[in-house]
Amino acid sequence: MKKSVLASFLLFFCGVLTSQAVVIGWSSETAPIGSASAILVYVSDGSTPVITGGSLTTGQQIGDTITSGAIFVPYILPQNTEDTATRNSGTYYVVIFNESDQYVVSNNSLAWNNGESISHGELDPITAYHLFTFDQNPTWIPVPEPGTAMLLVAGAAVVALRRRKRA
Amino acid sequence: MKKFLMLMTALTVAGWVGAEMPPVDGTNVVGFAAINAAGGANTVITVPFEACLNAGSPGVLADLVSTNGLVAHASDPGAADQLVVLTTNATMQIYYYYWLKSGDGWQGITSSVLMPNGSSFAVTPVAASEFPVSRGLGFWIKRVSGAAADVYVKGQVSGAKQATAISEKLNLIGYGSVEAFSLNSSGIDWSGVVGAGLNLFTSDTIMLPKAGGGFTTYYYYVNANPPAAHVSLTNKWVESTATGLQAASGTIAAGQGFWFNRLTGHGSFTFRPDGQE
Repeated sequence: MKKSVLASFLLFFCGVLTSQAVVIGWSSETAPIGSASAILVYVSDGSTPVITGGSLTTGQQIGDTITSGAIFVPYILPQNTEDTATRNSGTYYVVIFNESDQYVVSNNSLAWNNGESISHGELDPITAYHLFTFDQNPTWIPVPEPGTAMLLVAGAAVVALRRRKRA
Repeated sequence: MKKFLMLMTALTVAGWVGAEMPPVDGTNVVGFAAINAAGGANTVITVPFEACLNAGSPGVLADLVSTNGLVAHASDPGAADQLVVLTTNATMQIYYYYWLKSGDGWQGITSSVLMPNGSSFAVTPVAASEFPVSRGLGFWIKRVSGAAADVYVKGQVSGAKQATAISEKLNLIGYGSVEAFSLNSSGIDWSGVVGAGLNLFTSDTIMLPKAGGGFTTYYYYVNANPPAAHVSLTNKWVESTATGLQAASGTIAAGQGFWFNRLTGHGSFTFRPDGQE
């Protein structure tokens, strides 16, 4: 609450909230067994990140990939990830990958304008780390290989073509 | 001739009296310290001194910062160097802003605090000559672009050990030393800091402003059974990156302060970097 007030003060007085890079303070204490790496993902419309063909099709990775050196299941050590883009909507998620390149998306998200976990400058430091939560035994989602994804797209196109011919 | 004898006699007596008088040793030593605070940037300054002629008492903001070399302006606060202090009103932490007005010294800036519910209220700082800053506490200086790098703080040098009260939530503090130091120096006593192990987000943190803006955040790592990679990091300030932990390195310049975030629930303590009483 107090941090929100400080952030609001900064917005009102300095007018910098929408003109500077922000730093997102985050961590986790529920990373599932098998977690090997993680990324912070921004989604402009707040929907859940989706990975297709080996890359994000919904969402945008922010910052560096968190490697195994920073993951000690169930903990992800605290991260201060810089987002250089200007945001005025959307949410942040964390996506964790296992050794088989399968992934899970965090159960919760962080709003773009969170006061406590997002820093807008020196006078507005992070005072609490946002904890992204996960199921301890999640259903890992396979990441389709690019070739597999192309086959799926081609198959869908064939199905659509046949339906059109029948019509 | 008589005049000459009288003069010589007077000089002799004066010399004898002077030789017999015990020297008067003052206990007040006034110190000046130059602190690097670049133009166009914000820097936290830590005060290493106390009030002049009043040992043990905090100085006031207006007296602690020398205006020598600072940028003043006749009418535009935005074109002058500013001081920003963190304080607390009845319910929350707020900032007081001051700007250096030509001929008048530090002047308060009335500002508005916008509450999350959309309401707002005005904040009018107390006079800079009435705002106490104890040794070891810090405040921000916002330099205008092109300003000279050095800022001078002044006050009475203290021979006592530093004792800085730390309360829950944000604190602007530092080690009131006249020499550079490192966070993991064996000479600094961090008793009272609450650290953490792999749940490192529950540790007290130090946020040290970087030259180009932003912070480097340090956590106090405490782990009785650390992973192999962390054995050498226990009981040290560490940085957490995307690839893991590393010990805090580098030095903090004399007079440079930092944020200390004391998490809610950790209670208050007294930071005694020079050792416990």
